[in-house]
Amino acid sequence: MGAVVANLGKFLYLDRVNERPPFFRRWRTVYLLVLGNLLVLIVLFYLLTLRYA
Amino acid sequence: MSSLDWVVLGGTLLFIVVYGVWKTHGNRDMDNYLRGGNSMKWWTVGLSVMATQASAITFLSTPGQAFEDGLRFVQFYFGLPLAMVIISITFIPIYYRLKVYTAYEYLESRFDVRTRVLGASIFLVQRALSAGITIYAPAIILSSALGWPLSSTSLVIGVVVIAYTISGGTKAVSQTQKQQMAVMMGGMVVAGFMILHLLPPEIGLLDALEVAGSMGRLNAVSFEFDPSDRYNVWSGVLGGVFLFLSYFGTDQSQVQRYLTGRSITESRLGLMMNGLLKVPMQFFILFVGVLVFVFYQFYQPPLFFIEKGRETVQTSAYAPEWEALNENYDGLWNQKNTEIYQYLEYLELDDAPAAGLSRQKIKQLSEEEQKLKQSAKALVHQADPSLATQDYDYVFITFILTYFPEGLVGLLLAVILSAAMSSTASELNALSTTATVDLYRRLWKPDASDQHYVLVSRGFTLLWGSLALLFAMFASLAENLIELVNIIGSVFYGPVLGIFIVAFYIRWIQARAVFLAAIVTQGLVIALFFTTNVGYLWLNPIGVGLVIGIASLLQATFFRTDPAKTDTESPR
Repeated sequence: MGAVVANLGKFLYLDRVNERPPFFRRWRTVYLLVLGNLLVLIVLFYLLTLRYA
Repeated sequence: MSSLDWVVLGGTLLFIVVYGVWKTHGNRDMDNYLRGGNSMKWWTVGLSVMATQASAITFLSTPGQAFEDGLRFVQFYFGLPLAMVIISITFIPIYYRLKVYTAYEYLESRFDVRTRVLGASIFLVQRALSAGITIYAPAIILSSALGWPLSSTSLVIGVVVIAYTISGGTKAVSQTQKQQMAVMMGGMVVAGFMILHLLPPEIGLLDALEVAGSMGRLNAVSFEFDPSDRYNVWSGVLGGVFLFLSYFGTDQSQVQRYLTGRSITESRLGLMMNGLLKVPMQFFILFVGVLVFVFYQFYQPPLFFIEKGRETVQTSAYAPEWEALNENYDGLWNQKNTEIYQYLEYLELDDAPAAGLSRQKIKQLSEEEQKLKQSAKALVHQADPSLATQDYDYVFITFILTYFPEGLVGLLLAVILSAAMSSTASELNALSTTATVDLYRRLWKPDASDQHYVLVSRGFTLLWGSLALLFAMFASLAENLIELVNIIGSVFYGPVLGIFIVAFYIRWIQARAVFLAAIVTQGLVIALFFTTNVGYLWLNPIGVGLVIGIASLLQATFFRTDPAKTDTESPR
């Protein structure tokens, strides 16, 4: 597991010195946006479930 | 179907195909034919990735799943955004650096040609089986609902797709998928509004939600960890991330879509688009199914949705029992309908205790209704054991054909056929590319011209398309076709993803160890599937874990002196 995380970190570092995204300064921000969107959706769906449970 | 429906259906499909062929004819070199010349912008990549996954099964079966089981299937997709991020970080830069045509070319750089051929072969077997089902599944449902001959329906889907895929290659697939996605999503939005319009005038959207909620159809998210429960947040995120990592990261039918991007940035943004939109899209399709469910609380549906099943029982020795069941069902449905109106009235009066009691009664009547439906299915099975009894795949198509106005029926059929074509095209394109690049060029004829390989690729498209069509036209499969697609994927994806995870992240494991581990794991996963009751979603992480574990063991013991290999060279 440690090897997987270490290598993922290496790829993220390389992201900083390679192509930049068009909308934000770093790809990390784009990834956080996508994951944040997922969290928001899960919360909304959960609220829907609770409301009509 | 009316003349207007035929005009809408035919016109939509014809426009998509002719436009796609016109825009992409004349591709003569491999780069253009197999990678679209690396010219696609991110939104084309994103739409192509989404259209490839959204088959006709999505639009036929998913609303039916929500009708039967509510919204909880949306959790199945929770792992997808995380998988998109991991693929963007790791897989895409490597594929671009090595300038590969297929995902399996990378495996030769990292390991050896045997591992490459193994990965490619597993993909070819798995995807060839799925391609037949992608054509067969919608064909059998449409032919059953519309009375079309099954072989003709399969032919329409298969021949059209083969034609434009051969003609324009990857670019034709991507271009047509843009229009197909527009038709699919536009059609479903129209369907959603139409269903709301068809509800009784006194029933609005909020009332519809209350009715759906009272019968457990708005059960979108569950945080309970229950291994026997197929859909919850944990199985969706943990099990799903492995499935989607494998599907989007190692399955050539998806890899080929984002390798058409004009740069790493465009490919990544295409996947991010998928990561942002896929879950809401699936939620919306499920929600359409919930609205159909609500509609059928106010307009009585058939006890059993497959017409052939009903006709068979009615003309069999079980006809009297069938009549009695239907009489019971009529009474029960009317009781439930009355109670639902009463429930809505209590809500309006803000009488919470009375509303609570009414809701309990609705739930009870609903459960009795389910028992009647099970009895109906049992009767169908007794009358003719060869008939399908799982009828929720037919709910949405039955609803469209019965209640939608002229023109809209044609549009929704165009949605379903567009979805079938978009997925099949990606599959055939991927099958032919892998066969050409990983087998033919690598093992048999490495030094031919670009034009030769394009010709061979066209030939392979025709071959795989014909095989898939033959399978679709003459196979007679078990009733759970929709699950079969996911089961096939889950049985084969785990080992292939395991190979790629070792390739990307566990650098000390070398070729011989991973090759043997993958073969052993594939055998073990197949054995597990046939001999245990392990849920199919869990076969993915099991397969990955076994490859990593066995490969680690082999590398640390028998193969510890194998030299390390760097993957800086592009494969042949």
